[in-house]
Amino acid sequence: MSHVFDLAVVGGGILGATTALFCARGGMTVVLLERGALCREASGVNAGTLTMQMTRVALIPYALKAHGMWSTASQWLGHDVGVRICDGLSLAFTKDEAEILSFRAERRREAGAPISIISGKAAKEVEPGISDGVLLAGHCKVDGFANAYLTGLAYQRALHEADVSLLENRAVSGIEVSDLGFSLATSTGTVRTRRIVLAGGVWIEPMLAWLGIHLPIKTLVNQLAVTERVSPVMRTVVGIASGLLSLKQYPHGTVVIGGGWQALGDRDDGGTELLPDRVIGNVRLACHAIPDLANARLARGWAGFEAETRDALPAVGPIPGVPGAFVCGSIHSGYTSGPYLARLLAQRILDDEPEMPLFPIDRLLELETSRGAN
Amino acid sequence: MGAYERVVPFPGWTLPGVIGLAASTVILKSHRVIPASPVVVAGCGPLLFAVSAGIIKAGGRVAAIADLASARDWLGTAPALALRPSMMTQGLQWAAQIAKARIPVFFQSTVLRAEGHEGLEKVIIGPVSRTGSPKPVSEACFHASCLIVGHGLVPGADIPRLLRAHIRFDRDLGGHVPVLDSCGRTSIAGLYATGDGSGIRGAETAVSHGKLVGLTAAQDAGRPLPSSWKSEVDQAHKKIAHVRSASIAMARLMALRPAQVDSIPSETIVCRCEDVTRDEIDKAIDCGARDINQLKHFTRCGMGPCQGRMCGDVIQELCALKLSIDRQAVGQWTARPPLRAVSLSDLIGTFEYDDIPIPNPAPL
Repeated sequence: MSHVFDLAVVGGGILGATTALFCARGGMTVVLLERGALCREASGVNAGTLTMQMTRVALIPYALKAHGMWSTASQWLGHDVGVRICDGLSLAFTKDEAEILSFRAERRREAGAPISIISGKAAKEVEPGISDGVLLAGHCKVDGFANAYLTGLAYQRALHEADVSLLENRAVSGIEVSDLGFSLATSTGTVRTRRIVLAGGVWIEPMLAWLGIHLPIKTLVNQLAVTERVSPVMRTVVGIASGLLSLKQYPHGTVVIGGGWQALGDRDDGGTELLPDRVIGNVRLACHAIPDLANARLARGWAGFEAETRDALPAVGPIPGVPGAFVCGSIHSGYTSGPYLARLLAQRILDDEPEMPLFPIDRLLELETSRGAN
Repeated sequence: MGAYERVVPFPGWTLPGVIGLAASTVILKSHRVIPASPVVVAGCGPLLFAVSAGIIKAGGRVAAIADLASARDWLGTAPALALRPSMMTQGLQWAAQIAKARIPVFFQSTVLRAEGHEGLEKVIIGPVSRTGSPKPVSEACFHASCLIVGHGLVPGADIPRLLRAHIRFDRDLGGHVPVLDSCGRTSIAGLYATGDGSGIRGAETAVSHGKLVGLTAAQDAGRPLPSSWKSEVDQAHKKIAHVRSASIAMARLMALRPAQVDSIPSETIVCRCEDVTRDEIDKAIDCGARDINQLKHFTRCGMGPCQGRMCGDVIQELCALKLSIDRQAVGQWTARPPLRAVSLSDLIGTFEYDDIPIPNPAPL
């Protein structure tokens, strides 16, 4: 009989990797299977923003905890992910935007995010790089960014130190469930385990289908762009109240322009395609916020897949009807909140009481059933 | 689509005064600028002699030529070149000019290092084995204001890569090239490739192949063709076949030598945009990087202004050597737009804030 792991995690992004890490540290034998390389999809290609001002209200308490984890990554993860903690600004240029900003900031403040509304003049003191046209800004001192592309290296080392069996370039093609646990079919043989976590980002939909569960997952194709290195043009994370923008300059000088403008993409073949009008729109908005940015040159544009459930809240918890199976995904602003939600799931898997509630998928499956009935 | 120049890094290759061999033909021919003398010319392929002769003719002074190939390698190309009398004649003319100027030519030799403080001062040349790795037996030092160095060309197949056409690795063609049928069709309907970007085969092949591909594209598009088109296609095929052995012989002289890449000292910068050394590449692979894109994330190699166009071929080779896998398995850096860096001010033009189609924010 081949070795049986306590836990197999399918999907090597930050959610899967963090769950694997904490379960291994909790004493389990853990295998992590990733069809490509670690953290090379959404976890490695996102904008790295760690912000409260783009986070869903329901997730603010989680995001605050996760922000604390990111800022101490070198302690609990053991390796640096290039995290910089800095002020964050959400800008309003028009009266309408100022209204939206005030409303949204208030809701987030009620949920615990330390956001204050400041004048355009005060915002200019926080961020001298912003344009003169700012009427009002949301200001949050709990903000910052990581170097998303360093995520894989940091987790690779941490997983290795925690004795997680890391199987990269090992795609799982199906799961067989028995009384004894699970058998995962892979390109190079079967992996046996007592528990499984499906943490495949936008691919949790086909993964759940292995267990006969239908959970539709929308694929967002988020567009990003990065400039060449330029002398400092900004020192905060900048967003816009009424729309989609995330903007920050890394210590080495490049500026990453994102926010979630949509590109084209295909979850099944992995291909993405940027739409010129949207790249231009995103860059125009960025240059409107930080005028000196116009002197930089665009080095690269790309897109990554973000998963979204029907209610745009996470799918993190046990899989109903399949004892020992869990799902972890679809966390809005998942890079910010991901590590904390994955740690909560690890607590649940280790039979501890999670310190905050999970987001079980029963609600989403009921939604599907009622839709089906109609 | 053209080609990129390949320079296999050596200590000092990032000093001011060290320029590319193919690049120097541009400044000589297009800009009529002579590099500061004395000049050392090093690397491989026929450009070594073309450039040296060009500098002499323009009044510059060449201190030495270092060629990775041996005199025997060059003799080996003679049968193929014999079919191309014009190339042979041209080569002999360059050789005569170089001999007349009494320029020392070091065959089977390479630049061991370039030295200088603010800029290039000295070039140290030494012999290499047949495979291209330096032999620590002797050194020759030349004072130089300019070092012109190039180790062949890499196909600029950016567009087929960006569009995700099928790509294969072919060392003799210079690297990654689109998979083509005999008429230049890629795996994507309506996308054709020709010229150095589809494989390094030289100017004569490019002309004939370009004609062939143009006629094919017109035919595929259902456009009216000249009555002579069939014979023109046949002629193009024949011409390509006729120059084939000569162009392969030249391409082989310029192909990347794995042993040369393997001999890059560990402290030498290989990605000059991001200052990534060979040692950092090796350590990233030790840390678990198993493909070229993961290697990029671990080290920032290829993330700079050139987006890996200059260092990609060499870093992929280092990765293949270290992991003992073939180049196909190492993969290529994912191609992304823009094809060349573009200024944001050019991109955005003039606009009104109100006209930006800002998408609605994510749900609260």
